[in-house]
Amino acid sequence: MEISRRGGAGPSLVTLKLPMDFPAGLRVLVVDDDPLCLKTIEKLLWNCHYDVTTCPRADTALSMVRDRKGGFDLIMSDVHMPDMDGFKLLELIGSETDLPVIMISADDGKDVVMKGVTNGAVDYIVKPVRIEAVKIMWQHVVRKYQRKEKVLEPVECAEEEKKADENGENTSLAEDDESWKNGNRKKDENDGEDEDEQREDSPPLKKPRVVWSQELHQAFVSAVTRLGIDKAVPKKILEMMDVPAITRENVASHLQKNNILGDQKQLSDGTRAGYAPVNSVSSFDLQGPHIPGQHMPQNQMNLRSGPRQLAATGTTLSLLDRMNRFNSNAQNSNTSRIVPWEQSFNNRQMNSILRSPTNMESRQSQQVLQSDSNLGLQATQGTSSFLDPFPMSTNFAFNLTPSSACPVNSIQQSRQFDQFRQQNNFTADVSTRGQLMNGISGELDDMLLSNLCQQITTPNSHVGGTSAAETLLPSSYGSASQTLYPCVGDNYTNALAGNSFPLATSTATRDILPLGMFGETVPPRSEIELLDHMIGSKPEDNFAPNHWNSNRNTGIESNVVMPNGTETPDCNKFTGAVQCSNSITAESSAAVTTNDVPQSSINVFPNELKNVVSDQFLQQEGIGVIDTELNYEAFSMDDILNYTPGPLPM
Amino acid sequence: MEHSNLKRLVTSMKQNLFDQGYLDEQFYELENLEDDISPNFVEEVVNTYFKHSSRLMTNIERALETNPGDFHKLDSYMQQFKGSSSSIGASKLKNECLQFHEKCEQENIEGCRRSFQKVKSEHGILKQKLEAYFQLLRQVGPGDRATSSN
Repeated sequence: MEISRRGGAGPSLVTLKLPMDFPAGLRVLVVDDDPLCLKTIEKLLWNCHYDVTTCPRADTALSMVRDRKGGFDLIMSDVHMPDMDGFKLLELIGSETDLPVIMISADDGKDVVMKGVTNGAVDYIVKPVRIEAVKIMWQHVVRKYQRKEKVLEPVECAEEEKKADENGENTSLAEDDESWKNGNRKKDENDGEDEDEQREDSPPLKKPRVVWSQELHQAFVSAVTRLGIDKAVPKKILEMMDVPAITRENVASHLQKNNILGDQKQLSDGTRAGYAPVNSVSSFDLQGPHIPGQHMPQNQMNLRSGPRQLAATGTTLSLLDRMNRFNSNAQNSNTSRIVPWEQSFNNRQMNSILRSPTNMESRQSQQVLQSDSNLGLQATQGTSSFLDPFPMSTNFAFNLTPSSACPVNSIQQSRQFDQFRQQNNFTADVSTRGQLMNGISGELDDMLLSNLCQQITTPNSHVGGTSAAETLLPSSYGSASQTLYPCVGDNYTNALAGNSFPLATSTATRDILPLGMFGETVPPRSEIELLDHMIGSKPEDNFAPNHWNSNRNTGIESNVVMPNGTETPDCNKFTGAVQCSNSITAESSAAVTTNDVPQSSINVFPNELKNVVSDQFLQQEGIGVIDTELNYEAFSMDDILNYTPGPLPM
Repeated sequence: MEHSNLKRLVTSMKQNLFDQGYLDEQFYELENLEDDISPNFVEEVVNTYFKHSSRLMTNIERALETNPGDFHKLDSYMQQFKGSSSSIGASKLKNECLQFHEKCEQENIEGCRRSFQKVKSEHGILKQKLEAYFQLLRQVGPGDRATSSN
């Protein structure tokens, strides 16, 4: 089985190049002291066209595995064996190889099954083994390869990034990538909240998250203030802050989050990065459309990878809207029917922004949006049913968080939100699992709402034009989501935090994306996909996105369909670098498709992706046009990556 | 004809085994695995089972006598026995194994012993019945086997 990237015409899903008759020929080693079971299982596997090797003893099996490195794709092992405990074998195989191991036993006791899980078995089958269980065993192999793919990706990306690096920001991005590549996320950690482990070759499950303490945030704020909004690019901010433990990515992400928005703190949570690099794109912020003359808290949509979370601040609405538009343009889709926010929100401008193709150009509009809407929408979970060809089973929780920028409006916002909710039947499931953002219909928890209102207590604090709820910020990253979304599980909360590369702040985004570039309010599909990715693959869970992620890593694909007349970005494509002079011009609707994105450019570290996407999104005027039917693969990473920072919106 | 009578007999024997709970659907699964490559797969599997299960039972018996306090070991043996038995669809036997397992959990050595006697007894009965069944089946011939899959 080889991993290859397939891009080109039409949505392409593939991350692995599988043999035509896959899973035929899958090499399985079955270890069981019971000859009867060996015989039965062997026959079962043969009938599934697997290549079976049986072994009655665990020690023999271990030798076989060691001697024939790469000789097997999958191992099935009995639990109760006379010569060696099945879990011991599991442990040994796990420490020496990355082979997926399935435990089999007649014992279905909870403790035993739990032991299998905790010792790293990919599955546990209770005897008698049936054909149904065996038939789809190959999924574990595919999953493993995808995970590996993702782990490998950043290395390539980092190199590419360095090559393509044209500006300071990119450079630091590359550096970050390197560190990421080395699994050294700890360096990104700041005041250590939780540090998720994610290193080595095993797919990182979580990304370390930088915790923006008060002090750190103050340093950030003062740096941004000194630099001025227009100049407050992550790299310079980082230099000014002079804090060793954080990276440009962290700053960029923080900037995005706080840039004029000041309300989202939802981002903080760590992403449960099921799949390391790619998936580990942690949440990034999406800026909503900019409406000139208005100030709206910058809505940010935070997408978290891991448990896919889409955190949207006021601007996020625009994202939703964009997504909605996307949906409407797209032919399909499953799930995504993003309820138009504009209806409910007392945000005429936002509406206009959302609809207007020129949203991107004005940061102001974004601000307007922000001020009016003041609602951060945080959606957790599985983004993309519209993005992902494999709908996530994870729930998508939509959280609305009132922007801290306009605390006064919190009540109003809540009311608006309620109204919106009622009008649009928009519901967000605050509990851990919700529905996909696109067309989600989670019910927004009243509790959440009240939480949100409570959260809006911070005075409007703007840093360089960003309204940052500073008081919220420091604690928010890790805790906000918990506060706001009490039901949200760890995955959710860690979405952002876990990401060692924080989302680019809106400021950064602005830097990256020249506002005028987007005629389209809709983020390029690639962005959406990226977002989706970032939001989170479900890791642990059957997050199909894995392969999406890997796709991203590999830069495969781009089936980003540009809506009417969008042109493919002409940015440099290099992985992870956000230097896109381009434009993904999405017209108000549509899915953006870039079919000619060079694959090599797509190798992006998740972080990069994250930043890129967030940047893009922030720049976007807030149309959430998402072509649900496009695969995530259709997203053009290039778009995301290639955004060149523009001046910060005021 | 005699042949068709034989066939009918085989079918009804098998049906009885199912009706009386000696066999469950796993037996059908085994039959489904039979093909041209392994035309006598089920019989081979059942023969293997009885050989292996006899060994296992000897182990359990010995353990009950020499080391009755080691319930973990007893349970481990029983899990293997249960796995084996369930793999051929030996339903009643599997249930007796479950009983034994419960006695192990309760650390009830006497209960274990009694349960084990039942296991032995059921094992013997099943062996007889299946032997008779396969004998008849051999007479019918591979091509004419009635495979019922319900």
